[in-house]
Amino acid sequence: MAASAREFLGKRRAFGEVQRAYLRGAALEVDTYDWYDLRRRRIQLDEVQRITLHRELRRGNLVAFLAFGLLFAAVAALIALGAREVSAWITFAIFAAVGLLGALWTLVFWSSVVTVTSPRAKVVIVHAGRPRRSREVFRLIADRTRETQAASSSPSDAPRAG
Amino acid sequence: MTAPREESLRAPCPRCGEDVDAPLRRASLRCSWGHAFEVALFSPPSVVGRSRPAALVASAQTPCARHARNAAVAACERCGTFMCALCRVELEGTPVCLPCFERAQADQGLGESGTVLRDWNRLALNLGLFSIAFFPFAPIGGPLAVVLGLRGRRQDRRTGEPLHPVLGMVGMVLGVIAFAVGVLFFMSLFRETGRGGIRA
Repeated sequence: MAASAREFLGKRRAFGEVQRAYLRGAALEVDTYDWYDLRRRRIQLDEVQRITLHRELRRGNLVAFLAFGLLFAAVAALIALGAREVSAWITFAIFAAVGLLGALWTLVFWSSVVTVTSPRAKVVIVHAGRPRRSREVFRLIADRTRETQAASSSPSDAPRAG
Repeated sequence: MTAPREESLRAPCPRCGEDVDAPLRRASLRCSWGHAFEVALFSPPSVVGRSRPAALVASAQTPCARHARNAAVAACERCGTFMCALCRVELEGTPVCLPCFERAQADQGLGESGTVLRDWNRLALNLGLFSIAFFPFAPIGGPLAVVLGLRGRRQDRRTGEPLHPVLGMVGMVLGVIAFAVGVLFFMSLFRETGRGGIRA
């Protein structure tokens, strides 16, 4: 039997690791990349207890962008104090601007996070600056979970043979 | 007349963990720290449905250690505690209770159930790129990229689900090109050496 198609829901980046979440039939499939190894686990939707959607500031990115921007801004300022030619400090100023713009972007566009919790696993799906997509994913998983749990609870009411 | 209210529902805030009362199974909530979030709560039948009150089963049946009204369905393989379907968790194929599951998770991390694959196609691409960039290594790296690409194709056929097949193809092509460039480089080097060495 051919495996059912899976739909990409989103990913989450951690330090040295990427998790990609998919919806396949009545289960979430999570692919975790650790260098060249791919670990694939499956979370059945009939076990899911809670799905949440919230927004959060990416503090790590903000700190990294700020540090990058301020470092180059300091170097540009020091050079500008000594040499009046624009060509001496403009490169550092451009790098500083990139860093500070990145920090501003992170401050304005928060991440939307969908968290799926079951007794055995927790799946986190992050959409950076795409709240609409995150809401779609939240609704999709919630609706599919409700359907799956309704389907799996109805036969159990009837007495089982044997 | 008000609509019948569901049983008391609580959801932890995903940012601070504070428990918040949920008026409905699907609601927009805010914790006391002001963190807004949406929640959809479920009662999984695979857990709840399996649990039956002890009174409804044979009276001689052992009750769960944590839920006295539920009949025990298994004993924990680690500590021996009787547990109902609510408490039962599978850890690498063996039934354990929730405290033992959490202890195992905290102690050594869980060997999670699932499939482990190696991304041979991406490995082939990276080795192909490396061989092109550092072509003196290409006579070894090029063929190796081809071998890894073929291994990726074999894995894709076996699993029935290709994992970056294009990357593997590109890696193999780069490997062949790098091998040719590397061989030409060494041939010209040997030819120059034969003519009396390379002059600066």
